[in-house]
Amino acid sequence: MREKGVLLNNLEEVVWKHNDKITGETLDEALNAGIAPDDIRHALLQGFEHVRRRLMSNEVSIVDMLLCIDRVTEGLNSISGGKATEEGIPLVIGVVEGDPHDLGKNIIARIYKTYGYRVFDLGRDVPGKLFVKGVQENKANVLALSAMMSTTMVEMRSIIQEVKVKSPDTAVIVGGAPVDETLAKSWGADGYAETAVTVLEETQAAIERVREGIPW
Amino acid sequence: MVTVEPELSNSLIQKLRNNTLCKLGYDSTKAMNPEIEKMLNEAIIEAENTLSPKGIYHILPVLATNSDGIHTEAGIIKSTLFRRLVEMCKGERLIVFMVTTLGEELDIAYESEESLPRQLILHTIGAELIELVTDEVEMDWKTRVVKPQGLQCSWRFSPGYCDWDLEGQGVIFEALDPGLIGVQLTSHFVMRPSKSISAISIIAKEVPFPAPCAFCGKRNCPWRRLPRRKHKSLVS
Repeated sequence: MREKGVLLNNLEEVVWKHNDKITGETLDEALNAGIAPDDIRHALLQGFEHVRRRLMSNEVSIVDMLLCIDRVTEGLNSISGGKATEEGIPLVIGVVEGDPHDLGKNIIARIYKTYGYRVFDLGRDVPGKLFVKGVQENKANVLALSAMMSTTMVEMRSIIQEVKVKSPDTAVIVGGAPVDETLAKSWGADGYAETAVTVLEETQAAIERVREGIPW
Repeated sequence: MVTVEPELSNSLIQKLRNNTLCKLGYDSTKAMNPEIEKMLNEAIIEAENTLSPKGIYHILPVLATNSDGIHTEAGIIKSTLFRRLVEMCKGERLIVFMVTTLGEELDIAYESEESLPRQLILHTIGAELIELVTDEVEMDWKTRVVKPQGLQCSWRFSPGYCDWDLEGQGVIFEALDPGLIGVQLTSHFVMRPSKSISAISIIAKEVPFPAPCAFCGKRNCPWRRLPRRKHKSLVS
């Protein structure tokens, strides 16, 4: 049997080269070798991180990153036995009312899940009051709002304002084609994610701003 | 009112493949993973075998233009930028109203797809294909009306572009009966099936610019279709 370091490197490679099924022999071999699930999880995420960096430098396509997310998800499901985690930062995500475009939101939600956030996905075309309720009920630390249409994005403003009154400790991050950082700031959001590649860093920064009480 | 059912010819499918690859970010510097290539090929074959794109159009004269917009029998097109383009056109001015769709099959396939890369590929194929289908519908009215009479026309212009609010869908749906090709509007003026396009074009003896960008002073607009410098003299 190969040693632990080699097995973990193989797992990492399987993710970023995506030339094998995670659930196949590579993962089985690591589990049979008695490697701790946390170490396996770390290796899977390292593989994902590798692809994310390569996407940032335009070496791969977004489709490569999504395929990689599928691989990581399969791997994480294998080591958790398909059970949903009760740990992780609670995060509510959805597309604002009137907007049927959910692909971007689906991608972002999957990235959050992959990185261990406890994601409450409200779907698309979600009325503002449901976001407010979702944040309160799930004690969410983060609210991620998406809009792909200039006509629906204006709804974000009132949602942010209401969430800031009722759940002031929740960091609100916004994204979507018609939104930009200036708009996000003017609406009172705590962060803006331009792409799926940077959403993790932006979310972390938004959480810290809210925690430290630092204005954006 | 004319309905068109564009054929998914081999050359159109080849264009679709090239455009989809480009949109997904593949160029000569990036090798495509065989699994992704397989997904793409399967999705294109599925699109080819299951989709029946349709289009409908109707041509109406411009009755008048004023600060409210462009007046037609179907209602008022409320875009100052497009109105300025129409006002500069010479000869009789006609507005083509059109709606095209790929039908609901692609929406159903997307909804039932769990895999994110497949979702993205389906979405991109749909977005590219509906543009190509709309080009074919445009070709139909250009062949019947524009070319035989030696007229000119603009590029298509849709509600949500520039200063034309999405509510502008109302005038297009008044001019046409998109229900005939299975297209409906939601209360937020979004079309279902999702891979549908609604648009207008202006036809006249002389159309000075293909798009109203010539009248827009907005800097760094990501949707600008005409180079700014070339038309600077027209920007107020």
